[in-house]
Amino acid sequence: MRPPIASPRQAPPLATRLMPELLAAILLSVASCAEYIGLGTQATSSLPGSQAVALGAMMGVLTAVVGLIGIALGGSIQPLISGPRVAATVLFSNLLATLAAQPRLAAHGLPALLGCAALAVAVAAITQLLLAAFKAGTLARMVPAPVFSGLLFGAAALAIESQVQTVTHCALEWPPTLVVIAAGLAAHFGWVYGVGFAARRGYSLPKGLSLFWTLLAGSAAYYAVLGFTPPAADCRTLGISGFDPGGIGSGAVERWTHTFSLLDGAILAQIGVYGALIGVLASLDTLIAIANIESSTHARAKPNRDLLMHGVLNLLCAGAGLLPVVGSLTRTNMALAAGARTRWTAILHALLTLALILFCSRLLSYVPKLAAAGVMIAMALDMLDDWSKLITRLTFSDMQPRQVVAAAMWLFVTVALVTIVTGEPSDGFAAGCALGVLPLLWPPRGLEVRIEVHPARIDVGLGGALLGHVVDRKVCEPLLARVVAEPGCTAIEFDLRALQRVDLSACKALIQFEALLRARGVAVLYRLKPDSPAGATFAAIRGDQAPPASFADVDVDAGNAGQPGNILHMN
Amino acid sequence: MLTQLSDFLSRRSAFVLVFVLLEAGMLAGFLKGVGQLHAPAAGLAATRGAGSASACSTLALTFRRTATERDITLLLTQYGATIVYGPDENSAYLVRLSDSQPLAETAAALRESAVIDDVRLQTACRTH
Repeated sequence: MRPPIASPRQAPPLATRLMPELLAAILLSVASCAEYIGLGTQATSSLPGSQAVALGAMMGVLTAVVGLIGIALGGSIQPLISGPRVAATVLFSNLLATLAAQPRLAAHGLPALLGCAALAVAVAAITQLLLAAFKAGTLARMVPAPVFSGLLFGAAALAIESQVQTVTHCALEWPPTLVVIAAGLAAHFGWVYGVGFAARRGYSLPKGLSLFWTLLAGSAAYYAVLGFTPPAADCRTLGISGFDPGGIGSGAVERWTHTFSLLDGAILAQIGVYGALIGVLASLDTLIAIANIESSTHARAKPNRDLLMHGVLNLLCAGAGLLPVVGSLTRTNMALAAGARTRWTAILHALLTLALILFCSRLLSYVPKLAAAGVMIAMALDMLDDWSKLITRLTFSDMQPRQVVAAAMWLFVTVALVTIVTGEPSDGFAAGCALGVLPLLWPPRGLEVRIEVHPARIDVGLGGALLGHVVDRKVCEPLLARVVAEPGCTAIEFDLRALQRVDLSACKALIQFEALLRARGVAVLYRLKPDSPAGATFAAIRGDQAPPASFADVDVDAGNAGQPGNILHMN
Repeated sequence: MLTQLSDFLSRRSAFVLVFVLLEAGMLAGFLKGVGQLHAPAAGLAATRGAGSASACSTLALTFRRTATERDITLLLTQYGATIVYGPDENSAYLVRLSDSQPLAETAAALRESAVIDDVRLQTACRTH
């Protein structure tokens, strides 16, 4: 039976959507504000002074407001929820720590340090603008998937390391610190377990509320033990003085001119590298969030326009001394699950968040720093992406061929280890990119693509080496353009029998492309040689990641190994 | 047995990753924290806790008469500094900086501030 072609959903009128969008915005605000506070405190964790934490919290919240309103008004697809994200913020925080160790910069205090970090955000913005201008969003996807997974793992470990230092420092002076952190993390894992438990019984609970419960439980534990013994001075609450906007914006012009006078070649190079890395990582995160909305709403986005918007917003954030704005997959999913369909959820969420900082800063000042540290640890543990779990699962399994799994695992481990040992995500990323180039040294290296367009079907023949860095450019982008140009196309058949080589990144890209096509009502079929290493690898990964395949007309005849046959139909 | 262990680890890949991540982060954090505790302070034994600055990380600041409370608070916030004594007989405040703050460079930078009238290193540091 031919699968129906899904048409893109049309935006409904505002009057009918206001209440559902408002409810989604309220849920998003409750769930995400803890995240914004945690991310902000992580960003400034290396800065001196107890007020730096509150300053960071304000930066995190204001960054979210800028991102939400900017993308709601200028984004190509809704509801895209943008704001600070963990990976980019951890990079920002590492850069600040590196700059704070430079005596010339540290001597001039926060304005100089934040000014230099803002330069990195500006470089990230320019990177995104260049990617958009040259329609090169796919450049970010050329980086092997294990490299990004390893980078996320390493960045998560650095975030935990940073918070553990704070917790250790406080615990030595005030042992109940461990009670506060334990209460926060218990609430986080308890809610995550509860969501799974409820799902098995047919109920749906928003997973994103876990961070809110983390903050609440940590704060409750803090005030419960406060009466028994007072904490050390650096381990109390956020306080009110750090919420003074003058801490960020006072004397902005003077701050920028002063900052430029302190720069030298080495510092500029460091800022440039971090900025470019933040730009690439932010672009990839944003593109993933956009692809998710496309498949959920059957609408078509303009990724380059969204990259352009994020670049412009990041230039604004750089000028204001805020964190990088990134499209968020998790918050976007939360918004969609809560019923958001238009830009109004983001706008209402931004207004609620702005009201929090303007009218409830006194309330925020009572939030314990340790509770915010617990939120950041919980967020870091959630940074593990599905592909790092897949690589780990395959490593301990007996999936063949082993060299494909081993290559991905070594790449993942190397990037993570270099990032953790050096404390520099840019070093890990560089090591990963260098290692990722090695497989190109031996043949086969090139990919042969043959596309035949029929009235209702497109046949795609792939031969040679299907590697991650070419899938988007040579396969996905051209096919997507043809699918859009041929509305009557209902199926695409990939003939992978001539493939001699494949890697895990390519499998991932092809499987994600298949999901996108299915969401648009296009069936995807594969022709494989089960006895070939490339075919076996793809079938094993595909079977693990997608709904089970139904096997029909499979002709496993060893004597006809060279003949067309062995068809896997997947519906 | 190894096969059973592999099967277990393969089924619990998320748990394995979270465990390794937590251990890596905690180990790195503990090592850095302990390293900071044992880092030699200038001329004095390191002490635990929030106020572990040595005597040589203090400056005597004289604020301008026109400086407001907000100006002073913002300035001190930007350096993570705290007032530990003052005003003294010269209307100067003894301000403690963090150990990681380079004292001489910070004093030079503070002299350029519109809020500060005068900056003096603490007497015990001048001979270093």
